[in-house]
Amino acid sequence: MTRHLAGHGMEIGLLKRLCDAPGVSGAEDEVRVIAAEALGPLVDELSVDPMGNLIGIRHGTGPKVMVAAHLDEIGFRVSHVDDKGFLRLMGVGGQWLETIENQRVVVNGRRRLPGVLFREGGWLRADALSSSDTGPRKMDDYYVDLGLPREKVVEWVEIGDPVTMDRHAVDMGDMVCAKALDDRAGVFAMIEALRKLGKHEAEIYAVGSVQEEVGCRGAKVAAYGLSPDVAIAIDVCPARDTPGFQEHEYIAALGKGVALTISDAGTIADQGLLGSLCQIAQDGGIVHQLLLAGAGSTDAREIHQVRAGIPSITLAIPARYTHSCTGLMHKGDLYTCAELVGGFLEDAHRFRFGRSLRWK
Amino acid sequence: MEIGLLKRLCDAPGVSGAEDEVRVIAAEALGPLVDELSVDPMGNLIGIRHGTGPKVMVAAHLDEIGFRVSHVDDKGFLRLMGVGGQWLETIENQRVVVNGRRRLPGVLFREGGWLRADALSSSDTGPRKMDDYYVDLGLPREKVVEWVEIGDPVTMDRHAVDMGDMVCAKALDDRAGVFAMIEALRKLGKHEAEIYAVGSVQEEVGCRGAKVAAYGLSPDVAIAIDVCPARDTPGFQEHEYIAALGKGVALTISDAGTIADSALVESVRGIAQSRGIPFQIHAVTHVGGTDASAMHVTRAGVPAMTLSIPTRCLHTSSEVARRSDISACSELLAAFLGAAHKAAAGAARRIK
Amino acid sequence: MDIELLKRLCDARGIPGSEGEIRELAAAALEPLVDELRVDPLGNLIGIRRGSGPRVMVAAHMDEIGFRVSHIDDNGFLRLMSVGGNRVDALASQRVVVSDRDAIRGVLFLEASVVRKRNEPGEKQAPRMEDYYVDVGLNREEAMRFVRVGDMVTMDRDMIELGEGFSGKSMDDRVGVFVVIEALRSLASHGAEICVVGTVQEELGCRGAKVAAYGLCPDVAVAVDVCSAEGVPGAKDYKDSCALGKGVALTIVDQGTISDRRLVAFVTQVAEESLIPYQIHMGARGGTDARDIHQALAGVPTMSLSIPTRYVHSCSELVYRADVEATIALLARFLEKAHETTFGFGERLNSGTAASDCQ
Repeated sequence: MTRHLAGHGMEIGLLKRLCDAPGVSGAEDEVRVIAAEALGPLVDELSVDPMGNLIGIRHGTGPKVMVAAHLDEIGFRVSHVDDKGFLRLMGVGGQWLETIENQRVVVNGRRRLPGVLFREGGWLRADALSSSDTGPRKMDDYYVDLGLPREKVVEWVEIGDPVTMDRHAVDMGDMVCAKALDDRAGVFAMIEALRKLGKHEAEIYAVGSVQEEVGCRGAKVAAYGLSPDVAIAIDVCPARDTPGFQEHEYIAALGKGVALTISDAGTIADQGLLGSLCQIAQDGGIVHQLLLAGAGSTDAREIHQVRAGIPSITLAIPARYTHSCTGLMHKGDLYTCAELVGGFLEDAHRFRFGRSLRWK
Repeated sequence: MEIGLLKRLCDAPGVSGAEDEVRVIAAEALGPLVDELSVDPMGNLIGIRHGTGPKVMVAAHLDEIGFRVSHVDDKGFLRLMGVGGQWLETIENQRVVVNGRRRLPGVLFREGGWLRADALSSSDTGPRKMDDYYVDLGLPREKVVEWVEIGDPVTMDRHAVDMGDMVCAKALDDRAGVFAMIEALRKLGKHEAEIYAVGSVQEEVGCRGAKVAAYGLSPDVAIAIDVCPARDTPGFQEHEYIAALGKGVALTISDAGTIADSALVESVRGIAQSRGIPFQIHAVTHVGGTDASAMHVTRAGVPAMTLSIPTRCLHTSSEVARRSDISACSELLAAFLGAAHKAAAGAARRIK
Repeated sequence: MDIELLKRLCDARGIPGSEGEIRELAAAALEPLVDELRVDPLGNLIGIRRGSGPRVMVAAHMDEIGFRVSHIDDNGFLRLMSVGGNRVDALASQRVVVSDRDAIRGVLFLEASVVRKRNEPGEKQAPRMEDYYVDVGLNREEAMRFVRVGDMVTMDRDMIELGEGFSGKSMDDRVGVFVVIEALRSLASHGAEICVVGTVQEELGCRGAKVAAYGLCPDVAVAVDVCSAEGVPGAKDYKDSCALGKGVALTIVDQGTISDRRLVAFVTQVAEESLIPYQIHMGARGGTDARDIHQALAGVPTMSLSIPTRYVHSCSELVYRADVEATIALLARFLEKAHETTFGFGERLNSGTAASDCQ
């Protein structure tokens, strides 16, 4: 327990910079730069593949271990500028439309422009205070007000410009509250694991993958190119230990450590790999929980089905309010994730993965 | 047709990702029928019977739909996560087995679903959710946490029985396919094809096993052996049947996941006709999907189709199939494997 | 433009899995324009025009949405299943062509009981595919001489010239196939190795494109397809960001692909330099073959060139002549210049690069 609380000693300036940076799927550039800067000194080779995945290689004799955390966040792209200069948006990744109303956003185009995101007729409508919402919300009902005349808007804004939430990361006691904890926390944990890594025999591929939120596209092609022996995806998982849910509906809970994902909608974890990680966690006194979820998937979904199959698992860091701009994460859980990844990389050469057997 | 093996296959527990016991039974039966036998990294059972060519991959999936334990509450009741497509109305009031460190029997019920004051008169309110169900092991919590772990697979507790000309069992999807594949190899005489008999894993969660197995084996032709829904039962009109029991093996020319290669379908249809093997045409577009959906888009493409065994009450613990349809399936598969070197398949040709 | 070819392509019948008629037409047109021509295991038509590099894959899909016969009842009426994204709520009173071999005509209509129900006030239930049937005007015995379960059923709608363009049942994506052929015809010199692919089964999930890309291992790819154009009564004008008559649409993001930005920038530059009218397109609905091509192997920089089309997935899809001409011109100019630059990210930051694998 003491080791777990010791997570507070971890320096999270890099985490905050990663979270604050804009990086909608397909436009991860700024995040990639920050991650590359941090990864550079920790790897032997660093490159960007054709789709934009950041790939760091730390050499070893084997096995080949791919660790993937995704650089992209959910967000929007400008789809239209109307005749009054208001913007319309296309959602990128899974949106939780009730949470995007009355938010401040940034249009990341030729200039960085602040705006407000509202719903059509959503403010001070005559019946707003008494009526209940009518029906499901649609992305078409939202707009961004840049407070600029149309001539200026069309000068500075282009169709396709990415739009992100304008939120800065803050400490909240043992927690950190930020946008894009999904999956900057994973990127951070991966970098921290490499920073603390001592001796290892594994050949390590540290991948900052792109376009996970639109279908794990980056991880799929990166895994094909690297062809690793085993893979770990680091992502966040929803913690529903909040009002309105019974204990069996939590999925995961804050403060209970890194979550080893037995199964989610995209991947059934390789049993051998799961067993190895449980053992490493137990031997190292790393606080952890087990995760089973009927919905949601991570880069592991695409990685494990590449070529002739790659034993894979997701290590997830629990977060409340995922896919909103005010995600909440326990620093201790983040710390244990980095610890477990590091512990695995050190010992990977001692375990067997996959179920390959020959009988005849 | 001796169906002892079919019954053993059906009775064994094998939820997607935890197919071990089924794999053992299938390996035992396949062993004497193949030249090589192995298990790949994802768990697919792969038997190879050598030949000069073409390379034919036959896939029947080892896994069944079921559940995994997701939570143990403070009174020792279990909560579940569904694995594969669930038909929630049919899981209430069932006996189940938790396949963990120990095999524990339990009952699966819905919250407040038994003897509720208004139960006999009220109608159901809204769609059911997996979260509403629980398993009662009849054990105190201390014993439960000793023997049950999060992630333990849970299957229906049903034993296969004969019902006249039918067999009624859980997991006919797809143990009937696995059985038919093994029977076909048993009946197979001379063949030139190189045959890959694959007991695939994780079909029910997206044909994941077949996808990677096909990549590794890189076959010239692929045939999935699976079940298809037979709705020749009260409540459906004839044009809604999809398939019917007793009309033979179903040649699936299309389902939601695959459009079968037309040359392959014609070859198989021709073989069935010339040998007098009863068959029916199964063509749907909005439902269904088998390992063929993953196999046919592997690498640069593989001509593929599915031979299906019509089954009533699909995805429940009381699936019903006709023995004669199962044997028609294995007969047709054996006949195809014996003639594969002469059969046309695939669209590939050079024009210039 | 060879309008006669466009008409023959649009009028030809070919749903996913049964693209033979279109494949023959396209093969005959492509033969004089390529060095190699073949069909792959799934039925994709692949033509290769040699060059030193890079290897450019151009894909247009040969399949159209349609139906298959699922049942022939005792009175000779046919039941259907939908293949591809048909607008199931709006199929009644159409004429169709049935059968793979001896094409016969039929009337597609809704069961009378369903029609009565829909005319009741307050009735909101949309018809399902099971509620439709086809009347071929024959009894069961006669019908079975011409029709088998599994046979293809397509809309009976010829392509015509209409206003500033053309309307027909399968602009999606015969106009794309047409554009690819016309572009090759007008191609001057080129350095790239050009692989044109008439793909199959796009309407069911880009299955043909996926395996074709795997087999070809291209360096860069362009999908040529239609995109939904707005400007029709009742539509919110920001739903789709393209319109008829504004030129070829460069699709930068749709539901299946985030286009490679260097490729988009290069194509935009080519359009500007060649004075080809174009518009920037964001696809809020739908995707193209690009979705599966760009995720093949270790990744392929890809984008879509789209022809703005109204009434997509109806039997009266409408395109403007000028937009089709612009697409042909832009594709041809791009192919001529593709060797001038590289695409995709692909940078070394300190040393080394991720291995990729083409067999």
